[in-house]
Amino acid sequence: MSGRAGVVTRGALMMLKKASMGMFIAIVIGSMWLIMPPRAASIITAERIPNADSGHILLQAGGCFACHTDTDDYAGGLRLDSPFGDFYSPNITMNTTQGIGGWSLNDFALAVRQGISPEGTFYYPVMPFTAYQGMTDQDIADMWAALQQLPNSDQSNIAHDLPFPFNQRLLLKGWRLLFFKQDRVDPEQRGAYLAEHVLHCAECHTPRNRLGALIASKHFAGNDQLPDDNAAPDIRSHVLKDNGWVAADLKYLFAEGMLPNGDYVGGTMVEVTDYGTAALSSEDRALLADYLLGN
Amino acid sequence: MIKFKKTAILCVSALMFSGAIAAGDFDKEIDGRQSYMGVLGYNMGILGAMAGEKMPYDADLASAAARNLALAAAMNNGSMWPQGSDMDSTEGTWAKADLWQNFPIVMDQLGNLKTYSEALATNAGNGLSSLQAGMKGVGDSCKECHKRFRAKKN
Repeated sequence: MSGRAGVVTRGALMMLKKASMGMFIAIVIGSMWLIMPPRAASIITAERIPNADSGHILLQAGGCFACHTDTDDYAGGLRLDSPFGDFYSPNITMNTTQGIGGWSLNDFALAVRQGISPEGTFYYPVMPFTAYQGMTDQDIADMWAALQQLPNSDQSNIAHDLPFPFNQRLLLKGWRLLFFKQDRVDPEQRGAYLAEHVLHCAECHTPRNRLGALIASKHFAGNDQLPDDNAAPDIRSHVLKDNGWVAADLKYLFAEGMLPNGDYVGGTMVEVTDYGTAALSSEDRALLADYLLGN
Repeated sequence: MIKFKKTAILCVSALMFSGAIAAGDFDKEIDGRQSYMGVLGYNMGILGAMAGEKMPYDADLASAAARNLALAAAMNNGSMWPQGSDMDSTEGTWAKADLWQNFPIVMDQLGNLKTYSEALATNAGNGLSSLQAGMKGVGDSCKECHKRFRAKKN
């Protein structure tokens, strides 16, 4: 009996050694993967003739103004209270110390579409690069040209106030592996392009999982867990239609912020309509309405 | 307008500090203000449907709705907003406690709503473009409070 027990023990020890070795190798590879710099991506592929006027509209519609403005325009400092801690938007004026004045167009493209700083730091997905990833080279170049025209601010950036483990940016590499998908809508489908990439409607109108990622199967199904007790309703096309929405309702909402029942939007949706959709052309608002209604 | 604001502030202040209303028992006040908002919204809905060209412009209907709006906006509704009737303290409301911390802002916006509604009542019957132009000030005063002081409902 004791001999048999001895065989089992030696076998278990061998297995334990193998498992330990496997774990050690996994840790070494995992650590190397974590500290490896991110791949360079999102380079503007051809020379562009930027259109700053279009860029100003995109900065408004894309929420850059709303999120990066607390006191000085685009100088950051706006607090976002989230389940993971408090985030503060950074200064994106052309100031060379506090802002992004030292960046190139390609640095900007990498930041906006991939969520990676010029130094290789990962941004938290509170910055919706997961939606912006589908923006065209031309639109990125236009936004960059518009930013050059804005007043410079030396307003200091405020560090995010996040508890452990959310303050460990290396974890974002794993998050990106799990949740960051390159999924571009054809820009010719203008309404879809605006909704999915520029206006990033899903960021508020789609519920999130416990790791803060959008639940793809519930795209546009609404989210009642937004910061500051806000909620975003279900805007799936069949729900909008069931609730009596027609294109004229959505177009007026996008222009003025009014709902069909005469109520006005509240919370952060006021910024979306006043700074975002109101800045679009009436043609774009109509295409956006058609896309959301599935027309 | 100054008289309107002073009266409303006095009325609200008296309610805030009188202690006459028991905490957690604000059903009447909450019902009252939600019904009041419903009246504003009903008339704004008619005006918005015309301004957004969902329904044909009708000068008489636009004038009537805008006059109703101006009358409602001129109401002294201070008693509908007692201290402690916020969403953190009681049920059935999405009014944030911040509203009571920033009452001068609320009163300013109520004053703006009254001013712009009066202008709209004068101009809404003068054509679609007059109606559309007049909606902006009214809408801005509504949104300013909804943005800061109303939760959940979008």
